[in-house]
Amino acid sequence: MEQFNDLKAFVVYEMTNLLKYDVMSEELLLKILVTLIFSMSNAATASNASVPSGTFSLLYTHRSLLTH
Amino acid sequence: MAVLATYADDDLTAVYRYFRSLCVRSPFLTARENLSVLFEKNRIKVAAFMPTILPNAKASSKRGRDRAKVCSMPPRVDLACFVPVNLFDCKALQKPNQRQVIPSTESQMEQLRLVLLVIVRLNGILFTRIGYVHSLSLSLSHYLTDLSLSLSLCLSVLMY
Repeated sequence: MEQFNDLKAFVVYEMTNLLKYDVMSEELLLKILVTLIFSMSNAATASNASVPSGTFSLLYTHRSLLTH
Repeated sequence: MAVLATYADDDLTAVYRYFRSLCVRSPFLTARENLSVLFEKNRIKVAAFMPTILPNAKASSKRGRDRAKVCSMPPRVDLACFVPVNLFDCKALQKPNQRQVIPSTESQMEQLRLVLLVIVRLNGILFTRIGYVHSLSLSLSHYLTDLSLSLSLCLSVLMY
């Protein structure tokens, strides 16, 4: 769990920096979000936790990008 | 398409394609095995870059062995990810002042590749649950919420 938290903090910090420079496209961000939601669902199912529903609505809003 | 992405060393796209092949009415079950292999390779790659990612983390002897196995080159990323969004068929996102992706410097690209590598590792940890099986009794939903909200915030800020 320690490594998970460290890596998570690294990703959030670096992504915040990269967003300032506008080097990430919406498609890439959505791809990241979709993969994480699926992984989270997988982990949550195994541990009786719940995935935050807000992420799904965000995904639904931008679902047209998922056709690619 | 996931296999092609693997050949192109684009792990994130490969994971994305494999996940999508599992999220259908008739899932392609071999994708789960392929994902395990992909996540294991990614774990070794991340271990090699761990001193860069977490300078304060102590490198274990296993990480040292892993580091010797992989090449020193960072993974490549499909540059199609950086195509401006208005090239896609996405009418909902078409706005007069459409955001354009600015050409980035080499260091930013390297940093992005590293971040994508770590994101695949996070997926691997969540998917295989290796590394925190002993801690699952803790509030997992708290960690999931935190991570998910951070990414949602990033996406929202970018969109609007």
